[in-house]
Amino acid sequence: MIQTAKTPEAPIDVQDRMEAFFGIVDLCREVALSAMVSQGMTRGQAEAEWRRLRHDAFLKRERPPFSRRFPNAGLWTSR
Amino acid sequence: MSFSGEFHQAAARTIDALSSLKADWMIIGAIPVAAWGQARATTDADFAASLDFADADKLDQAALAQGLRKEKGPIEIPQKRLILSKYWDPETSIGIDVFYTTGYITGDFQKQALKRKKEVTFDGRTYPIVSPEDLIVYKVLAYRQKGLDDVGTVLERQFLNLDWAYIRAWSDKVGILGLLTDVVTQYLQEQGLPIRMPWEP
Repeated sequence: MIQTAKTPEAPIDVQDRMEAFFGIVDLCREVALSAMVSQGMTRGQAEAEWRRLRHDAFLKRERPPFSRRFPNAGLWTSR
Repeated sequence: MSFSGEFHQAAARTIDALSSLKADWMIIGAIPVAAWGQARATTDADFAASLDFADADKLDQAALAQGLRKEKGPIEIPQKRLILSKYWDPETSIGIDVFYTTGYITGDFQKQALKRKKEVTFDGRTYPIVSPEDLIVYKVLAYRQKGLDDVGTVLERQFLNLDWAYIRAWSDKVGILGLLTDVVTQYLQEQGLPIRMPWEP
């Protein structure tokens, strides 16, 4: 039997997908900063507030189970 | 700085910390969701690592050496046997979760998922990320609202290409087959497709 070396898979190019992802985040941030500036904050204050909100959101624990898209998915505890 | 630049910076710090411990690792969370499903606005970076949570102190030190700040951990997501440490990159304001490979069945799953990771390239860089099959198992296991919404978008793009026997087998092992069945059933209903589980012969 002829044995061949396994060819490593080439990395998958996801440039378009990531540009969409990073673009969405940048856009959301700019909208949030603009809203804060329009409410009277300086750009610097708005950026500091944005960082604070990001930090709070990171530490917040989401409590399961709920889903808008799959509202009938069974409870975790009753699977 | 754009979020793309911030992400690469925070990722580089995390990868340096994990590499200094000779850990195998891959990116889970938002990056693979955007790659296999649809992008959504989230700024956290999630990593799965081959480290046991007994190595948490070493990881803390390695992360600190890279300028990351420890926030919490190791903490267990209740009832899910997923254990992680949380770090914060003060320079980029990006939160980083690192999931440990534990002795639980979920740790066995993660070990297998690390073996199946896929390499993706963007912005001239290459990163290992979780495969779409393992992403679905992680997301249904974590069972958060946004996670299930993410599963919906992965199904929309990958449904016919997925290794369903693999997804079914690991979902059964980690105890989420009922949840997976619920999610797939509702997805099929939503798409107007016959309700037949894709792993059935």
